[in-house]
Amino acid sequence: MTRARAGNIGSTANRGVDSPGFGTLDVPSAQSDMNKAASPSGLAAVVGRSLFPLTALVLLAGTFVWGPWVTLGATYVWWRLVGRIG
Amino acid sequence: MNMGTPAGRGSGKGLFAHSEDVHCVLFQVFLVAGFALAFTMWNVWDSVPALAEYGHAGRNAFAVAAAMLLGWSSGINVGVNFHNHSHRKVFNAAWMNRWFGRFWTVSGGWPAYYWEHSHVTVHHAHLLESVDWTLPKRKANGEWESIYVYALAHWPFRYVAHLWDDAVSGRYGAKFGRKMAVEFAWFVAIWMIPPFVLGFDPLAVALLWLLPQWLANVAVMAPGMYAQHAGCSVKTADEPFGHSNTFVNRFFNLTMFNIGYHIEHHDHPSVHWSELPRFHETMKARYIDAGARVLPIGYYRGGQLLCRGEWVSSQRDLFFVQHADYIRPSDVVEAPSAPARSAVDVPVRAS
Repeated sequence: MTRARAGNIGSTANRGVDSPGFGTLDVPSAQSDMNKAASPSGLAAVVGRSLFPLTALVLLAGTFVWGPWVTLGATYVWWRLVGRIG
Repeated sequence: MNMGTPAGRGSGKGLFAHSEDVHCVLFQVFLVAGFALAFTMWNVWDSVPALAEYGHAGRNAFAVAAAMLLGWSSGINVGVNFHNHSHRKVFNAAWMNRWFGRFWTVSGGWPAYYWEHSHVTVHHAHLLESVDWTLPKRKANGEWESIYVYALAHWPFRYVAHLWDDAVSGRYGAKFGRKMAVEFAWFVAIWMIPPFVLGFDPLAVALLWLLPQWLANVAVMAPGMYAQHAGCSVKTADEPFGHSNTFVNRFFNLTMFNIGYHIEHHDHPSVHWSELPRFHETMKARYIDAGARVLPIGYYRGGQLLCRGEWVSSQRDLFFVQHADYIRPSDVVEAPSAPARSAVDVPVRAS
């Protein structure tokens, strides 16, 4: 095996090899719908990026209201739903 | 957002190296809050009327739901979120990167340093080579092993064996083994906090701490890893983009820090995760010309199809259906209805 440099948490070492010059790439100003959807801002960004832990918090806290069996059922439905759309 | 500019890459001032990295930290904060909430609810279950009325059967049902939700998020937190940090640190201060990293991966069942070594030093540096032990094993005929075997055998069993071998072999230098030992000690110290909070109740620890870690690895990270490189082959001049699959599902990339742009990520791992969609746009024409595999789905759907594909081959074929916008013109003329260009377990991509 090729000897490789070991990583070091907190250092700048060993982040992988990148092609040089990416910083000079000319990015078209017109963005696709996909790009817009993937780059939200503000509250949408917080909810979108952290959707899964936030959903966990809502479902777990909701147990006080609707009980544990509904939480378990909703978790299963959420799991299957994401399996279809994600 | 500044792509490729000094400002976009972090000026060295302020807390975060990149403004979008606040979301990486928020994810971890919300996840820790979820664990804290679940532990608290378990501990007070019998003393809160709204919970106690459901008895211990209800409490255990709650714990299973919590394990699914928190294990799922922990898998994302390590395999996607810490993953991004392992390539580009989120903080400007080295000590914050080191200590936040140590706490970051524990709920996913990993010492941060071990995961970073596995991913960056082994996987990225040797992508799809025989020494890339992070990926599924190949059978004698070159096919990948079953996704079920990979998921169940890799964590923790194979990872432990390979990491031990790397630690004692000396191939990564004399200090590597000592560093592994030190980081393992920190991992154990942090890992023991939840059992302590749960009063070392065996059932609570099993359901609310061990089960989430198992699900994070077996049900989330392993299928994702499998899908990222299913049907791929070592990078060559003829097939420069054949090493990975790119997934452009909007919901998936919005909620998963753009990890779907995987060809881009392996070729340019230092590109910030938030900039991958724009980078993808710059590469789109080249990907189409080269026949790069770009799929309209995400890892969740992809993992389902690959799992079902173990029993029904048509499900596996569905995984490889190319996104309609990325079909090479020559492929349309030659085989307009052919969805897949290679099988999941065929090491060499056929064009």
